[in-house]
Amino acid sequence: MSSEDFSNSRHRGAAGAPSVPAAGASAKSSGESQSRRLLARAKELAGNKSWVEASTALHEAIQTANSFRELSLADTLLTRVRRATELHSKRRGKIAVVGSTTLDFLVPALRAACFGAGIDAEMFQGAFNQYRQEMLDPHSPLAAFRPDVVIVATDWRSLALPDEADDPKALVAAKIAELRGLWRICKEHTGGFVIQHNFEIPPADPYGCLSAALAGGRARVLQEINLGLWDAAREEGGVSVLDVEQVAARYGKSRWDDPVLWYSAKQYPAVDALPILVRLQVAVLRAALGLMSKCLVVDLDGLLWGGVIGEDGVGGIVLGGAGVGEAFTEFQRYLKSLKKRGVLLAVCSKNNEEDAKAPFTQHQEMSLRLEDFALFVANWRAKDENLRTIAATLNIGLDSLVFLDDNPLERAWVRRQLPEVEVPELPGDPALYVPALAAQMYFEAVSLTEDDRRRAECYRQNAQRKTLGASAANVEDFLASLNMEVELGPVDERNVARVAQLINKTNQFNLTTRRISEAQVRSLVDHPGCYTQCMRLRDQFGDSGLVGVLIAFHEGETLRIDNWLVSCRVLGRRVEEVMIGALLRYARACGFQYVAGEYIPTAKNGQVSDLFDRLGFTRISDAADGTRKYQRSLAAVEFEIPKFFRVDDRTPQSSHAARLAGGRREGE
Amino acid sequence: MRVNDHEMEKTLSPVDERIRNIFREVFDNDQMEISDSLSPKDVPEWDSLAQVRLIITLEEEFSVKFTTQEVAQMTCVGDLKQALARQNVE
Repeated sequence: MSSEDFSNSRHRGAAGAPSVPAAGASAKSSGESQSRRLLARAKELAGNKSWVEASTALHEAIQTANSFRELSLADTLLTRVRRATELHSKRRGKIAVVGSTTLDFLVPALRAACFGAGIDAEMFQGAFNQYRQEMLDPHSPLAAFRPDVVIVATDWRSLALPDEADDPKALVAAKIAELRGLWRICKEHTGGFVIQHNFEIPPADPYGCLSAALAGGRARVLQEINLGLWDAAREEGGVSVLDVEQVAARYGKSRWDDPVLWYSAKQYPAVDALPILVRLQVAVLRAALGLMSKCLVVDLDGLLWGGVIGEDGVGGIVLGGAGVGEAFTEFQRYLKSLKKRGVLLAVCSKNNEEDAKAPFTQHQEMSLRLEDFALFVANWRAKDENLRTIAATLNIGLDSLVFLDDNPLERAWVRRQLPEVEVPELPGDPALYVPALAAQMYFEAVSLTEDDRRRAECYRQNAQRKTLGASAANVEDFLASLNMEVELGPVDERNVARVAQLINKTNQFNLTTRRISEAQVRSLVDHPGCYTQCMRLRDQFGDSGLVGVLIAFHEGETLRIDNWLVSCRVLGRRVEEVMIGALLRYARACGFQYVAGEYIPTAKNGQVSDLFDRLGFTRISDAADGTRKYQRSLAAVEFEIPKFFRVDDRTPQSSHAARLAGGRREGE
Repeated sequence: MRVNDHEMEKTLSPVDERIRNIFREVFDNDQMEISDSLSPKDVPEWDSLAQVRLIITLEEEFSVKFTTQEVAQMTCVGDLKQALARQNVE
């Protein structure tokens, strides 16, 4: 056969595997067989109707899966298990995928990968190349599905670009305007968050490198479309761009496209490339659904430097210079940059605390400093125990932790003791730490707010507050000593991204856990029957930023609280009393008879189960599932907020004022 | 050239067994048996999508890649085996 040489060159042999575990699941070279073994086990368990065990095995199989076949097999089993029992997951999500190519392989792989990341996904699969109609039609099955997220998987071919455009500026503008229009209408019809695929710059181009050099070259036009998409998404809000161009390059563009499957089945990208693509989709979905990892916990010896500090001493550890020492330094720089963009860092090391801290204060080549860590735990206790302490002290869930350790035994131990914690495999060579961690995509975000940038500082300040708390005679005195200033204001354009982020990731102090997208929050702002309040907190140790949100609706004689949450950063500070105080004052000024509240229990919000009781509301119903409804008559005595707060209330003081404010906004 | 159906049922060669397991995997049916003459008209679920799944699963299982021509021409189990044989999988 004449094409034999060609087909041989496309063999996927072992040599074709990327040097870095690009599929993101695991750096183990035995990952594939491990996944197959677990899948066989899951199948057997499902056959015996041991559904819970089967779903656990599936979860693990998916995490170590690095081929489409494994993901597809996992999805088949998952469907079987789901039919029999409710899957254990952090979050359910309705996820729609529409696009310009065959989606039949992408969707099952994505559904399986979602489950691997704790998302029980109900999926909607768009028809082949029908994304425009589906997004535009208010009566389309897509709109009826009411997705939380819509992934728009368009490919470069669908743009139908010429090799060289006559008027590239107009072309770029037109392509972006078209997609932007689709997003806007789709968000309106579905209320979902939009994830737009950007466009691969294909490696085969008749103009070669000139394609990027010429103003109208296809490569250049694609680059400009990609840049323009990011700007458009930021301006539009509720839209995030998924970087297909980058993930294709990372995977290897010569293998990203499979021309045979394109011509035979309109499949793009290559089936082998689907695992890395769906993992990126899951990383962005996690962010969109508020499930991203928050804190990176690191070991010290062998991870941040070479050698053992307790034995080699500050002068003896390997750090800086060239070679391995430089690799450690670079890894530290990478971690420091993660911290700058809002990822919390913590240390969990088996060491004497004094030894463990010495390099941070004495070694010149240390890029990380003690103040970069929200928490520093060095002792001889088991690591799972210390990880629990870290999560509890930082007030975040174990499932928000990523744990890095160069010791495979520690990794295996933590994985077994704390399956909620993400524990990536690490290669033996420190030079590969950065690519291995980056490949996991734990910290993908759909936006970066000022609060993210300040997060590490906030958590460190909290640790200081705890110290002060220990010295104060009682809680009241302690809170008074903080000199807290609360600023209340309506949700508006400047804070809507942060508000949506809080709504979607706050778990503990969250009365109803009603997740709504940024697009939906935006639509509330202009809703005349909606009261929105957000709360910022400052104290003598620093600015905590926007940490509370309250949304209520006018319903006849009642103002009903629909969503109320406070960031775990400021729990125990009694800011909730300031928030409810302002709302009650507003309700009274508007002439409402009652304020109604509701508590819907989840696995994590037990601490606010009696919040409304504590705030003087009357319980009017108590459902079997634990949901409680409350109301408070506005004829009752006025609510007093604690005196130790200085409050700057910029929320509307009555609905009249709200209308005026709304009118002004419209008039602008 | 197709192998006689009865012959295949008697002794399943290791390659035949792997192919049968792929059919079982793709059609999610652990009882499925195959013969060289088995084609889409015998299996209701064997649509164009299942065809692509068969192809990509065979490609992975045997570390081969089929040509566009082969993908279009493989219409029964015997064809699949012949295409594999051309890539020295027998």
